[in-house]
Amino acid sequence: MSTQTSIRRTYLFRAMICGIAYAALTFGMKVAIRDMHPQGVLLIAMAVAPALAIIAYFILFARYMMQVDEYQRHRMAQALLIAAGVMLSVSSIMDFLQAYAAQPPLEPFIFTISFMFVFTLAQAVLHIMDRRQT
Amino acid sequence: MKNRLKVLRAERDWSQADLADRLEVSRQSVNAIETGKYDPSLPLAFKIARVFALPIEQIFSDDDAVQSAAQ
Repeated sequence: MSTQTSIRRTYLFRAMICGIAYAALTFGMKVAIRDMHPQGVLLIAMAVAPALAIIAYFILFARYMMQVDEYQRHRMAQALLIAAGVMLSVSSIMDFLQAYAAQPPLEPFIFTISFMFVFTLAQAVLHIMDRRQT
Repeated sequence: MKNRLKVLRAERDWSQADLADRLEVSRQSVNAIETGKYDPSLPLAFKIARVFALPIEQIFSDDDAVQSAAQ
């Protein structure tokens, strides 16, 4: 197994752990806050706990970007720009709909998760385009 | 930028994966360079030259320079 493949597998495994941790913390903290009625610092700590998994993922991603070869880094930067463009466009549309067309605001947390989804989708599309041109 | 990567690789009977291992990059990177989709950085271009034991200008050539020479 090449170094690059090994780096990718490690990244995917750790990213999966972050995803599972995010889901578990989101669900777990929602139930815990509802049932335990924490107050003060404990409430704040429990409320922000799911965000730690997201932050951990971004740190993991930054490290991965530094480890991969230059072409993969170039492709990931392209996917990031696509995701940022799509999400900022959608966000702008939703803001104007909210401001002038009395649309309800989006559910909380949806922006980050949608960004990750679009980023993953963009990477997949670029990967498929690469394979077609092989 | 044009390159002779595919020809040089074929001469040595190396697969894209073999060359990728020697260059410590992914096979996708070798493919992207060979097909002209991606121009390597200067350090990677020098590494490619070292792997093939050739001067860099015998592997890579500038499109504009080639056209000028033809005219």
